[in-house]
Amino acid sequence: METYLITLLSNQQPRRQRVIENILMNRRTLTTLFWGSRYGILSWLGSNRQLEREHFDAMLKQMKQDGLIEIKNQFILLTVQGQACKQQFSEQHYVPRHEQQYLKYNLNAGWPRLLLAGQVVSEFSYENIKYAPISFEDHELRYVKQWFNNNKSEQFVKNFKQEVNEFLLTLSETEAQFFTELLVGHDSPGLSIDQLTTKLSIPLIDGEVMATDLMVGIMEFAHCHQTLLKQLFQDLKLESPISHSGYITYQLFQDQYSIEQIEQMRHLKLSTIREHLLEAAIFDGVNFPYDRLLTDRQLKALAVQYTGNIDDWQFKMVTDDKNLDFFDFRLYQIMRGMQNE
Amino acid sequence: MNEQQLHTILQQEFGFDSFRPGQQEVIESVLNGNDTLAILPTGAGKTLLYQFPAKVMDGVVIIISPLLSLMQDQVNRLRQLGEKKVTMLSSIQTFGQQQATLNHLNQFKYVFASPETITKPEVIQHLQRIEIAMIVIDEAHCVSQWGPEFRPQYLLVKTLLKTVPHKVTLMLTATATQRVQGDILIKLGLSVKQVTTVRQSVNRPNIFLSVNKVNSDKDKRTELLGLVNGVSGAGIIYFSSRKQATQVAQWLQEQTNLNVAAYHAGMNQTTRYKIQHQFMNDELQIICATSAFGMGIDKDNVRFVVHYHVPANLENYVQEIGRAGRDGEQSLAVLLYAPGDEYLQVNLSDLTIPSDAVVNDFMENRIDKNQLGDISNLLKFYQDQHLQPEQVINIFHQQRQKNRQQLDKLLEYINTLECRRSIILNYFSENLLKHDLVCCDGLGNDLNINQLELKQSNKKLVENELKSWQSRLGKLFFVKS
Ligand SMILES: [Zn+2]
Repeated sequence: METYLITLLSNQQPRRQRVIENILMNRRTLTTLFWGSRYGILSWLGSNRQLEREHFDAMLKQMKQDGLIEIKNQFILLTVQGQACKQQFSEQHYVPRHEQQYLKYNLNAGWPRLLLAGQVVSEFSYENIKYAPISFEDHELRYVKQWFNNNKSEQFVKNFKQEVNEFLLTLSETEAQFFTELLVGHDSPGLSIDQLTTKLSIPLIDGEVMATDLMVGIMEFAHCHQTLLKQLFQDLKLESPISHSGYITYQLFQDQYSIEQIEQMRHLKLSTIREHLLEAAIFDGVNFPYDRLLTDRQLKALAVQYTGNIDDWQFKMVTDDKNLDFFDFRLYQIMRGMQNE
Repeated sequence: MNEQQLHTILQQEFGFDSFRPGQQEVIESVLNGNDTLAILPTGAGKTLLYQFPAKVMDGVVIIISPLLSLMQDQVNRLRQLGEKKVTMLSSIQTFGQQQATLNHLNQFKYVFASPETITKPEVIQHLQRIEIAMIVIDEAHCVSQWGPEFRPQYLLVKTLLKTVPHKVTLMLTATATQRVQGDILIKLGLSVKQVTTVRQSVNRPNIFLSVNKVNSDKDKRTELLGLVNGVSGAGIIYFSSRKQATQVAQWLQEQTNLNVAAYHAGMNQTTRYKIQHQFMNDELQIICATSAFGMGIDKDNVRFVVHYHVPANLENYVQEIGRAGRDGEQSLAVLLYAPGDEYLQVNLSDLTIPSDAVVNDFMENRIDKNQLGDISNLLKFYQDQHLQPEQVINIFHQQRQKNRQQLDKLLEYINTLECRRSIILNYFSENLLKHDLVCCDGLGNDLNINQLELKQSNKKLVENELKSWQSRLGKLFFVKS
């Protein structure tokens, strides 16, 4: 069984089985996010929300049987054979180009939005008003209808087609064919990913990754160049990969409010505010203002206390405030991790 | 409203010259404010039964439907007919989306919902604030019958009907025996005397009924291959598992030069939409499906329906084969049977019914509820209704027994040497007029595709090559030059 899972594993760093699963399924606990960032796989956050544990475990089991991985105490490590296989995998399979941008967008909403919009434009171009829209979501239908009404003009169909065409010109022939065949239009419902990969003789898993990657591609493209497409995807660009509440906390923190002030303003528990800031540090990396939370003295003490491989550090209490100690520890761990990269 | 007026509306609003059998009776009954039970065969034009009154009556029409995919099909159908004010309260909505829909209920003419959603107290509160023309209970046999569509929440619809003011209730089903009809009314708290029942025969004379007994799964495949290659036109093959549907679809695709696809509720909504519409556009000839497929398929020229596995009961069987031959042309239903097939069905239905031990463990909190899946919801429902373990166990015993009886009936249909149609009609308390050469393969009248004029004459190859992306783009977005 070939799977992109192998690209998320390492032969140097044992990786927690459940962290990888949680990343794919978008279970955003702080522990998951932290380790996801340590493993460098955060871009895959929420990339497979329908994943079933049974299926995930079966893939691992198969990889183990094939001698590609070892699993010890739920930690996975690639074997020599596994590492070779991983390298070969990238040569033989679709390599995503926009992985670094995945966290900037609401990934799951891209295709449904584009398919509906494409359908609306296509039916309009054939002057047909009686058709079953591909989306059932009132919100989506309203959004696309609004977009359509705002832009409807003599040149609308031509302009939309032109914009899509410009994007397609940036792709390979196969990618462009893949992309257009997925679209839904008047009297032509398009093909499913499954059907398309069969026709194009590419593995199904490549098709799934390609679909995601091209979607991020067109959203990136739209934000840089375009008008109709840009408006279409406007609300799918995220303000930040940080959770909404975490983002508010981080904004206040960047506006120079202290943790205590934020705690009062937001009526949240201190521990929650700290979690928000750790989440912000994970996503903001080197740009996070660590010096506002860790003093020079603390840094010196932490440097003595924690040495060696960052992944192996064991948390130790230094005061009688466990929550604070852990916060300092984890923040320091994030900081050092970012510096090492 | 007199007959003249009805026909004027039919023509002006819907563009039809005449009603299909049964439609006018149902619509008249509903417009007179009578709660109505309509038992009309698949393809009898069910949508019009509530779409017509919706045009005439003020207020929202609520449609309760058992499966998400069926709901989506119906919503699609209405939108395709040009109705814009259609919405759906469903489990795929986020909390926020559902709130938004609830707050705008008034702005819709048609609101679809599952029994679970519609009976939630907060949803009921919203319903009480708006004007409701009618409540439609689609697939009303689910109220009574056990099966994958059964939801215990159907039992709460009774309360809904009592507490939410509405002008009239309409119950729709394609098949219901006398016993099920009575049971539907009891479970919904309606009395036989106050309900008008409109019923059309379940008989579909243009579908030839046939059972093909084979010795093994391998033989089944061989027979299936012969059928799909031999019979002209589009066909649906029903399976009881998603996995099998997928595997056989792939196999058929490799073995034939037909376009074949699988269809089941485990596929995402986009893919389901595409497959359905490819089938309707004749881009696909064969669908390998689970029972999730079919209800909303607006395709008149399905020539044959094959059952690869034994269905749970004759009701389901009649509904599923009813998707063939809506255009009235000669069509074919084949049930493939290998010895022991019924045990698969027994196992399947037993899986949906918890054992005594599970019931006891659940009621005394000795079991991990996450491991139970759907069964857990069912048990929780009974627990919330304050039923004792013995009562719950008793319900399940009865259900198991009922399932066995229904399966026995189906086996009778499979094993008979007499007329198969008469067994079906008997089951629904109807009488057969006559068995003849185009009736069934009973009484020594073996299936003869030639004689039925269903033989594939010259196989039309479907365009399989992908065009360039430029030409695809040109076809999608038509720009006048
Ligand atoms: Zn007969």
